[in-house]
Amino acid sequence: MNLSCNRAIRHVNLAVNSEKHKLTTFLGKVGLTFDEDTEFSVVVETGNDILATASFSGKIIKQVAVKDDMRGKGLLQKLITEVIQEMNSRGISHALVYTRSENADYFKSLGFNTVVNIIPYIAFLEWGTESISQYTALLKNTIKSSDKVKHNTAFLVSSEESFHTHLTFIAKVARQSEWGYIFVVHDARSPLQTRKMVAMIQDGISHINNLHVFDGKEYVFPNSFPAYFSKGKERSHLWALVDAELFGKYVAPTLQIRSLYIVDSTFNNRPSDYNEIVRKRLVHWNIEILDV
Amino acid sequence: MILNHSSKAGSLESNDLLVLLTPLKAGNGIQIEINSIVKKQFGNRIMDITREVINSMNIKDIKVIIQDRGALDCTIKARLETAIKRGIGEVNK
Repeated sequence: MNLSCNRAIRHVNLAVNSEKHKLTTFLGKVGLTFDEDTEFSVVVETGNDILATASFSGKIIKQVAVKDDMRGKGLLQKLITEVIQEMNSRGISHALVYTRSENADYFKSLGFNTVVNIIPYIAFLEWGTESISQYTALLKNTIKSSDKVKHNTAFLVSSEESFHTHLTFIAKVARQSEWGYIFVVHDARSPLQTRKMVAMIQDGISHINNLHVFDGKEYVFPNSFPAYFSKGKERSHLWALVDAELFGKYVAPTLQIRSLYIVDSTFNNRPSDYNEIVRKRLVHWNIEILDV
Repeated sequence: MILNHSSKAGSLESNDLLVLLTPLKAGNGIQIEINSIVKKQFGNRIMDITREVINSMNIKDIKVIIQDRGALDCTIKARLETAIKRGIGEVNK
């Protein structure tokens, strides 16, 4: 006679080495690693064995895995419910997921919206009070509709470096363009710093009529891309694919951007593969990348 | 009545809904965000029920996030009431 199995969902105490190690081992068995910046993890266990797990760090849900023989039993929904509830209690009501394309449907069934899905490689989904459509609406609000096809210019700047040294150059290029859009790469680790930079740039360009500045948020070449399901070359390829798709599919068409200047060292810390692939993909979207 | 702290009820299970409540400072009013797999057909209904329950419990300032997976009216009411009571402190989490 079978005893009913006792499955419990539990928060992992990441400060305890043995617990962290146990989780890391479980993840290793399914080809995932444990990102050191993980803030919170839950597991579904029976007795001493982990059956499934999910974690998050910042807005990103990651390290989601269900044991093969435990699929189709509603464990994913239990995990994600717990993760979203914990995120909400920490004031985060926008959740992001990067996952392999074949897993996108599971998250969609839970209410996540697909932002981009580059089949078969990677899908980027989101849930909550913010969305890519809200972001593009925000961008759209700054432009006046017109029938003319435009060739606008975008500038990518980091939130850490001094902007003033670049203002002259940006102003000059903007004069040769209909509209210029400055995007500040969002630093997930210090959103306050990003906001400050946006405000500072806003001040600095207020005398120039055709320049706008935006926080890039999670959508415009963000700084954070999880490392838990791919490493090295593969990771930089996936990262580049997602970033290029986001820009080419949503941002550029909304603002009719045809040129993108990478200002200062925004991309310097990113792998060379990343740089190469982003450029190639954007060419397909008819966007020219230029360095400063 | 005032929500003393963030609270929650429900789950992402099929036919259930997840209710997440966050207190807001006085004057901020009632902010409701609903995501549903049947939003087109029932979005308005869920919104109506939510407002009804909040008003009946006399709450003026609150942020509500709902992820619905096809729940019936009675389930929606029950989860909302539970989440509110938890947020007020009437029910043990």
